[in-house]
Amino acid sequence: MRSERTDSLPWGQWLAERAYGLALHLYPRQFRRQYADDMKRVVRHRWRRSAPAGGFVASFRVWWLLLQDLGRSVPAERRAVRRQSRGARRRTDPKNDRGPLRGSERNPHVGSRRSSLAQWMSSIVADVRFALRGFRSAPGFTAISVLTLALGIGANTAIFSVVHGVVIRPLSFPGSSEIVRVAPGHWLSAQQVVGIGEQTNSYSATSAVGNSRFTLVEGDAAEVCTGAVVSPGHLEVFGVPPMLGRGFSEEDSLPDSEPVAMISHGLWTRAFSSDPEIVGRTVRLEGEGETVRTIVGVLAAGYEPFTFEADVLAPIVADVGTHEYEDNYRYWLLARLRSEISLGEARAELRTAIVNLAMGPERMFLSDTAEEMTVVTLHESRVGDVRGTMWLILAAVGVILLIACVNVANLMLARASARQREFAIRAAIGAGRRRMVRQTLSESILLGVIGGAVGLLAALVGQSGLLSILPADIPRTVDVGLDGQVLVFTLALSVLSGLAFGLVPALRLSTSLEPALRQDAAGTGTMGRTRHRLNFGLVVAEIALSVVLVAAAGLLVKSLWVLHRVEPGFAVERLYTLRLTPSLASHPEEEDLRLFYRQILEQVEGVPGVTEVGAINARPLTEGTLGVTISTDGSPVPDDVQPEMVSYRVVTPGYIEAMQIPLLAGRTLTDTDRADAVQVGMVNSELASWLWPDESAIGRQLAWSDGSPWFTVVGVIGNVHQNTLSAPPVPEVYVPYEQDAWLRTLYLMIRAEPDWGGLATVREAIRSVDRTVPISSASAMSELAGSSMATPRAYTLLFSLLALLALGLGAVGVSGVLSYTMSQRAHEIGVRLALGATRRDVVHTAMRSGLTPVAVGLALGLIAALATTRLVSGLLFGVTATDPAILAGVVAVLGGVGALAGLIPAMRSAKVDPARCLRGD
Amino acid sequence: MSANKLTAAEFHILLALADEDRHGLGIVDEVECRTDGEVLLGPGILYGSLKRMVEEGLVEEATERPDPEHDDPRRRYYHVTDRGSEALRAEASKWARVVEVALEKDILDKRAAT
Repeated sequence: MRSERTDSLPWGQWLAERAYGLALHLYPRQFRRQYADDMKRVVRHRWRRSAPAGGFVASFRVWWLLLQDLGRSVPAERRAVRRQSRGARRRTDPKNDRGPLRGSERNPHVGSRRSSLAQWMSSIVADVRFALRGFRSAPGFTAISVLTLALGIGANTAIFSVVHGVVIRPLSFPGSSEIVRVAPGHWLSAQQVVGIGEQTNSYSATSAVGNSRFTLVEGDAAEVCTGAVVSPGHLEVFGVPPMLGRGFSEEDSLPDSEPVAMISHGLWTRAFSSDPEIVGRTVRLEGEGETVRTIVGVLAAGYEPFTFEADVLAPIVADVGTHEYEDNYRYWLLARLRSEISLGEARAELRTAIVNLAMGPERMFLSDTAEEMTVVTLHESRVGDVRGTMWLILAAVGVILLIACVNVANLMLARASARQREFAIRAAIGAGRRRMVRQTLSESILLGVIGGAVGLLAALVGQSGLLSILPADIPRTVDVGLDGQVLVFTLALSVLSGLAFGLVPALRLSTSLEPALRQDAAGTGTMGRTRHRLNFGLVVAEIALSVVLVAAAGLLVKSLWVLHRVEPGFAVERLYTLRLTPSLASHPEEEDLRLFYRQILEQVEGVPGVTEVGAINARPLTEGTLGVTISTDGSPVPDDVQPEMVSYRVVTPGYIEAMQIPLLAGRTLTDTDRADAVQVGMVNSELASWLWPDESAIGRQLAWSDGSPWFTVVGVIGNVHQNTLSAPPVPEVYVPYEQDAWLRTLYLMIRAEPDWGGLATVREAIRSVDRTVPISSASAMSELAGSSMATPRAYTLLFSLLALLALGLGAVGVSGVLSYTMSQRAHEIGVRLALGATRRDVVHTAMRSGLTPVAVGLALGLIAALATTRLVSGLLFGVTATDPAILAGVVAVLGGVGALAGLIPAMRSAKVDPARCLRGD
Repeated sequence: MSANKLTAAEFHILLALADEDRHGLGIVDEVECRTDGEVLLGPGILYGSLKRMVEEGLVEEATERPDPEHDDPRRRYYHVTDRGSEALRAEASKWARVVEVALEKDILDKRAAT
């Protein structure tokens, strides 16, 4: 990963190249030295060729080709070397010359190596068979191990498939690593877009994008479509030709050209019944100052250039010298890097360009931070925000797998002790240690693979459930699936887990086995020191790992609880809302539109059950914030006092009342605040305390910095959480809609009586004014408040599930280790009981020996938790990552679980019958 | 292995090199392209075959490099020797005879064969 561009080297390719690098060692050294680099280059090339398809089949084909190639060429090259060296030996050493006609040389297929390979293969088969027989004879052990591993590997597979689909996999555009977002640190005007285009040379195509909305009117029906205005290079940036018709040309952007549009495949099928003759048709598509547009193209199916659904694309029309060209800061910039340009070069060039443009007529703002003036890959700009969280979740399930491995390692150890005599006998009659270690490892790897297969099935079944748990703001979840690379991941994980938990018992074999033979019967003595230490370590590890996960989950739960208690700033109950987007064609004039809104408000107010109604340009808890800069009392607010962003709200009289936002000073807006009256507005307490901390805000003068008329502050109202509950309230200005020119979209906020029938009656009332006006996003405000909590709730749910899993697995594991310890000490306990110890004493001793490792595990886990919980701090709200109450609670819970897990085996051990024990039954 | 007994991979490699010198990747691409993706040369088979063919004197590493602007010094270019051309011609004419027979027996569509 040398340069930033290789960051996006697909994970599967990376793995394939590494694996192939290892496999090259199978070739004779000389051959490898001569050709390894060339061969790796061929592999990379092969992968690039097949991988754009990206699918399972494509990557499987590459793997299959490489495997076949290795299978055929490795034996051939090795044979060639042997032939050569034998030839050389025959020439130099006459003793070795046993005649020219030895069978194995004439026919390479019966070479001695060949038969040793066959031997090796058959011994592997024997190992597997032997292991399977062992599993059959110990069904309990096998079932528990497989289930434990299936849980661990299944959870990892499922989460990895998400991480892979969302974060790792390249975007599905041709050459997607070359598509970049040019981020100068702020929104751009058309003039600035042109300026950047002239000052830079890194891109083969660029596309400015301005988010937009259009209304498609067909007969009586009207539909609001999200979309964008784009510059002519748009399709070249993404490298995807339209399915029908053409993309935009330079002419389409000229001011007096015929208005055109491209539509998405989705809209084409939905609204135009996949009409193949659509290109050239003129439809009523209102928005961006036009009412009709000619459709020139239909975008390819699955073409999703933005994070939002773009059903309509229209060309940017901005004439040089107009307000639209110079002052409308609404564009962001996408581009395709020339293949020879690196991101670093593009970044350097962009900074120089911005410095140049800052002084020119483009008046480019220099951003304060270099990170904001940068060029990032589109992939990075899409998934950069969630990447950290995704890896964190993967790490959390990794911990689960570790706990599962510890559990199975313990089971294996118990089994290995029971089989110590078997191994001792096998060693005594001549089995090599290596052979026995291999046997043990084959068993554990086989167990891992079986567990992995079951886990894979579980992941397959559970994937849709997982996707429904995941927060809705995670991008690209449509790309999640179990493809070849996920399968490879699962296989690798299974084998690695098998190695991990098999290594401990296998290494135990390397200690001397003779004592096992000398003992009368296995398992009647006290435990060996090594075994004891191992048990201790396993319990410590399980408890410590569980503490970390449970602590993370605990913090998230508390954070969610805190969030639940946040007051949104208005009364959510019995509040309903919907959006109106009246068409430009039916209300072309401002005055006309105001009249229309007035009629609608009157009608809705008259609906039975509605107590209050108001309207706003941006609905709380869902709408983004439109920021403006302000001036006060005759002069612009100095930069150090100017709030970073003042949100601009346009409301109707009655809005404050309908929302039940508290009025702190002055008055609210009334019907008399019309266009011809004195310009007035309200501020929220955040802005009031910011601008006039110790004085009254009433009667103050405010204006937008762009030179719009002054208005007088007549009221101060409470703060409202405008974006999400977790984001703090921002400074806000509220102005009456009658005094504002641009209100093409309006959200009605309706307060109703209890047991109200719902929005259907409101729809009817609106239809009685205008049958065609599009109504959208109708819902109860309580639902919106709920969905604003959805993301934190989803993370909390996910981590809680993982913590429960860890807790369960940990408890089972600790209990298993302690039961085993107690059963090994049955003989000793019997002696103690015979010598007069009470059962209470026995339980007491057992608990003490069981709880010591639990306590050590808690302490270590607490340290680890203190060190790692700050990783989740980005997901927390109102809770610090080291919240003492939560950490104490976690210690208490896990201590309790540990104690309970120890108590059961301790109680059982005290029920030993000393007589039977001493007799050695 | 004698010069007139070529493996399928060697035959394809010689065919790929017949019109111009190529490096390993170039051979892979040419073979894949000419056979519509039917024959995919894996790296082991490719370089194993090249090594043997160099030893047999069928191909040699080219001394002339292409124009340096498009060149990568790590690449090795291969060139068909006279002996290689001869082997290729022998093998190709053998296949030509096979094709003739197939045509005579109406197994092949004539257009497809030519």
